[in-house]
Amino acid sequence: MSNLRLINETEITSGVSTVNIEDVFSADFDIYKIVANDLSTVGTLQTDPDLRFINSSGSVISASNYDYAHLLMFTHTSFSVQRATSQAQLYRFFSQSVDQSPESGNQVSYIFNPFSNSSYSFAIYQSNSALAGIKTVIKGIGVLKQTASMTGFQVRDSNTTRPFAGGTIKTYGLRVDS
Amino acid sequence: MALVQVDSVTVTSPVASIYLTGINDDSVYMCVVSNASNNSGDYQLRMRVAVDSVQKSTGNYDYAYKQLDATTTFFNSAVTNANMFGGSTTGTSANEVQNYIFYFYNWYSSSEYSFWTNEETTYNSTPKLVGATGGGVYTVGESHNSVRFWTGNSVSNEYDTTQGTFTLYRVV
Repeated sequence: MSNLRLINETEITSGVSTVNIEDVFSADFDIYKIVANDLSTVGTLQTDPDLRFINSSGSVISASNYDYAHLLMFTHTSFSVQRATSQAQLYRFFSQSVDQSPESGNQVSYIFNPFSNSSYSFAIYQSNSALAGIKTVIKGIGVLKQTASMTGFQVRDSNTTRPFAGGTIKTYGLRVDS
Repeated sequence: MALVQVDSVTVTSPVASIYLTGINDDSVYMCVVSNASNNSGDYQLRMRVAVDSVQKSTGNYDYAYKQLDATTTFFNSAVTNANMFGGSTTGTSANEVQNYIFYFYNWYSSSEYSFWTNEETTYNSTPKLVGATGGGVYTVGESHNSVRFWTGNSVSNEYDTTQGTFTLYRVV
């Protein structure tokens, strides 16, 4: 049996700007793998698919406690970087900006120790996307600087008015057997 | 992709070394380091290939990486003829921990070099968020069945690792 266990699979319903994936982080695992594919928007205007954690009380963490850094690798121009501290979300965690299909965003990431109430929640992520013909690959890192137990996460249309048309989010736990 | 656990060590009190063993075929192996930190100062997490509990310390480690940093310019780094792979440096503050995902390639082969890739996210001794994406190679064609992790601040000085979970998986 694989030590990589599927915990949750969520299909994004067309027309929503936030998708909460709750009760996926637990004491059963310390490390999680998230795979997102085919994120797109209803309209032609793009949005950034960000991540916010959800704590054990069900509250979405919007405090300015997120730091991130990522490298953007473009096919049409020079590479660039984005980095910030004390943000309210992990910016472009799921990909560079996305818009209407057939262009989309796709991503794989690892989350370290989100359920622990004694350590920060860390992330490694990489994605690719296409927007108006611009193709972008991102490799990045992030952290939520709270020593509180997180039990889930939110996929977020950062613009809030450019909802998702679809996409699939799979969450796996990476089991460590003692 | 399926992962089968081969070995795991959870550190809850200071230890000088962590050896993960059980590489016994030509599969790709995934190694995950989670929530690792050290005991008494600002020290670097380090790695060497090994056979059982005998590490390989010759100057045959070449590696390169892109350093990501939440507060300043990213940079490229290339190291040749080192006697180990060096990761980030953390201190003893509670939130300064290191997390890595390695993939090991050809470690068991007696004729191939031993390669790895590494991804990292760490809250370092500054403290700030840093990480790296890169890879490396041990340029000796010999078989290795284990890996050693430890912390240090110079070639000869080694210090205790205080906490962390180190797990080796076979990719099947």
